[in-house]
Amino acid sequence: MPSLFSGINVALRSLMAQQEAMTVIEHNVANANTPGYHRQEAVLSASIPSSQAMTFGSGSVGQFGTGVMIEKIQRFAQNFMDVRYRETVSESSRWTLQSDILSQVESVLSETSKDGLTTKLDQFWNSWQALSGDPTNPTLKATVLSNAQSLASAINQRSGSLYQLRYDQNLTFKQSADEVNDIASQIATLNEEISHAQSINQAPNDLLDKRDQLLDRLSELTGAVSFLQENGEVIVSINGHALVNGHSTFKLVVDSNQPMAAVKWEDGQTFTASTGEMAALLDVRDGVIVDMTNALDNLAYNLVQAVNQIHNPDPATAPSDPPYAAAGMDFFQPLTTVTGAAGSLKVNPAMETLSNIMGASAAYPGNGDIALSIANLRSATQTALDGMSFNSFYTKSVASLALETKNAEAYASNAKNVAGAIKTSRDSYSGVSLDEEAANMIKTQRAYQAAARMVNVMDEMLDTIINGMGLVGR
Amino acid sequence: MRITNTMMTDSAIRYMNESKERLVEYQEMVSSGKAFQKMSDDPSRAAAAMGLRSSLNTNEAYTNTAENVSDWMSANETAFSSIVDLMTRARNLVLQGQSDTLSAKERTALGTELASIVHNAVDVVNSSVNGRFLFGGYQTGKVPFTMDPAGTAVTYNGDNGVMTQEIGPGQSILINFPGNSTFAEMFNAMIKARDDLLNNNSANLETRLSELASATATVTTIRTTNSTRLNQVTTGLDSLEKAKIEIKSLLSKKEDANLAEAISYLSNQESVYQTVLEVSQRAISSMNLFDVIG
Repeated sequence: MPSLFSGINVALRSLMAQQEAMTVIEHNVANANTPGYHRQEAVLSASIPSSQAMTFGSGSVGQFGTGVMIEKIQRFAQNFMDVRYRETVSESSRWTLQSDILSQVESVLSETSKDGLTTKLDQFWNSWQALSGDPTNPTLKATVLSNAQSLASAINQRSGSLYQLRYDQNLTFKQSADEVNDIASQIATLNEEISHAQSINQAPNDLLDKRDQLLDRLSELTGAVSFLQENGEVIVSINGHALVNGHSTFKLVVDSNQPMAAVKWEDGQTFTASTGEMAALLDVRDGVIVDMTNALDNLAYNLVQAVNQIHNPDPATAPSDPPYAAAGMDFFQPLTTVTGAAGSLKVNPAMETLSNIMGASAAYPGNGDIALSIANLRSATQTALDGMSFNSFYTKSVASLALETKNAEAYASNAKNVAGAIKTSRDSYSGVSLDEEAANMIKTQRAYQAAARMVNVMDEMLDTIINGMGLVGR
Repeated sequence: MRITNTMMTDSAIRYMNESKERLVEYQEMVSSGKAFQKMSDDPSRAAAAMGLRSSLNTNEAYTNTAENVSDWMSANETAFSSIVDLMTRARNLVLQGQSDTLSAKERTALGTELASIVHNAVDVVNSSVNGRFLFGGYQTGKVPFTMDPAGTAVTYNGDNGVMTQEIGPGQSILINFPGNSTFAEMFNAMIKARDDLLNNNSANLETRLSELASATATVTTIRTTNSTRLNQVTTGLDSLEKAKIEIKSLLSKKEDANLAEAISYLSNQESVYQTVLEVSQRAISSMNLFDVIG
C-alpha cells in the first residue's frame, strides 16, 4: 500500500507537469505570429506505476498509479506537406520574379506610349519623305537631322537600360549564390545539432522549425529538394547535385571574371537551378534580355547599313543614273559589328552641316530619289531581319516579349494560388490557434488548481495522523 | 478544417490585395481611356495597334506629299493656261500680219508686240513654287529659260529630268515636264514669227502659223497630261483621307476602352472592395477566447 507521503508526491508531479504544459502553451501563444513556427503540445501520460504488496494477507492488488508525467513535447509538422509546399513555392517564386523583371523590361521599351520606338522610326521615314518633295529645303533637312538624332538616342537609351537591367539581374544572381552557400552552412550545422539532440532522445523542435524555414527559402531560391534521414538529418540537393549531406556542404563558386558571372559547383560541374528565383534570374539575364538586346542591335546595324548604302553609295556598285551619280557621306556613323550596334548608333556629326544631308545629289537638286529611297526603306523587307521591314521586325520583337511577360504573369498567378492553398493546409495543421491555446490554458490551469487542492487534502490527512491521534510521546 | 489566426490574417490580406489590384486596373482603364496600359496586357491587340498607328503615320506623310504635289501641279496648270493664252495672242498677231493691206511699219508694230509676248512667255515658264522652278527638270535651283539681251534666242538651262513623287505605297506620280521638250518649239516658232513680222517677211508667215499651231498642240497635249495626273492626285488625296478615317476607327476599336462597360465595372469593383475591407476588418480584429475568459 502506498504511503500517505507518496500521495503528496503524486500531487506534486501533477503540479509540475501542468506547469510545464502551461509553459508549452505560453510558447505557442508567444509564437502565434512567428513565421515557420510549428505549434507544440506537451503530451501527458500516466507515470510508471508501482507494484505494492497487500497490507493484509498475501498477494498483490496490482499496480498503483504514481500520477502524471510529460512524455514528450510534440511538434505538429507533416513532412509530406512541407515537401509539397516547397515544390509549389519554388515555382511560384520563380514566375513571380520572372514576371516582375519582364515588366521592367517592358517598361524600358515603353512601346504603348506616344513616343515609342515605332513612332520614332515612322517620324524618321516621314521626314525623308517630306525631303524627297523638296530635296534642297534646309528646314526639311533640319527635321530629318533632328528626327534621326532622336531615333538614335531612343535606341541608345533602350539599349543602355537593357544593359543596366541585365547587370542588375547579374548582381542579384551572384547575391543569391552567396545566400545559397550561407543557407547550406546553416543547414549543415543544424543537421549536426538535431541529430545529436535526437540521439539523446530530445525533441529539437525549435531547431527543426529553423531548418524548415531555411529549406523553404532554399526552394524559393533554387527549387532545392530535401530528404529526411533516420537520424533526423536532411540531404539537400539542387537539380540532382548534392548541396548538403549530413554535416558537409558542397558550395557554389561564383566566377566574376566575366562580365556576366558564371556559377559552378566547387567540383567544377555547371550549376543549374531547376526552378526558383535563380532560374528566373538566369532565364531573364541570358535569355529574354539578350534576345531583346540582339533585336535592337540587329535593327540599329541594318538601319545604318541600309541608310548609308543609299546616302553614300559604293561607287563600284552604285548605278550611274541619277540620283546616285554623286556620292554623299555616311548619314549614320558606320558600324563594324552587329554586337553593341544599338548602343553606338549615332548620326554622323558632319550632318550638322545641313548641306551634307543629301535629299538629292548635288548635280540634280530637283531629283529627290535619294530621300525617297530612304523613305521607302520604311516598307522594304530586310533579309537580315528575317525578311521583315524595320517597323514590323521591332513590333514582332516587343510583341513576343509582351507575350512572354503575359505568360509569366499567368504562371505566377496560378503557381501563387496553388502555393497559397498548400500553405493554408500547412498552416491549418501547424499554425497556432489562439482559441485552442486559451481552452488548453484553462484546462491546464484547472488541473493545476486541483493538484494544489490535493496537496492540501494530503496535508490535512497527515495532520490527522500526526497531531490528532492522542498525546503519546509529547 | 482547423482554422488558425495566421490563416485568417493571411487570407484577409490576400483578398484585399486581389480586390485592390482589380480596382486599380479599372481605374487606369477609365482614366486613360485605353483598354490596355502595357503591351503584355493584351499582346496581340497591342501589336495590331502598333501596326495601325504606324500606318496612320505613313498615311500622314503621304497626305503631306500629295498636298505638295497637288500645289506643284496646279502651278503647272496655271502656267500652261497663261502660255496657251499668250500663244493664242501670238497666233492672232501673225494672222493680222498676213493681211495684204498692212504696211511694213504696221507689221513692225505687230512684231514689237509679239516680242513683248515672248518676254511674257519667258516669265511664265520661269514660274516657281516655294523657290523651286517648275520647268527646269532636275535643275530646280536654276532659272530654266534665259533670253540673251538682244532677244535673238531663248536658252534652256535645265535638263531632261522627270521627278517622281510617291503619294501612296508604290503609287508614284511624275510631277514635272522638262521645259526643253515642252516649250522649246514654242519659243522657236514665236521668235521666228516675231523676226518675220519685224522684217516684213509676209511670205513666211504662213509657215510660221503652222509652226505656232504645232507648238500649241505640243503644249496642249502636255497640259492635258498634267490635268490627268492632277486628277489622280486629287483622287489619291480622297482615298488617303478615307483610309485615315478607317485606320483611326480600327485603332480606336483595338485600343480604346469601352468606357460605359469600364465605368460600371469600376463602380461595381468599388463596392466589392468596400465589402472586402469590412469583412477583413472583422477577420483581423476578431475576438478570440482570450478576450472572454476571466
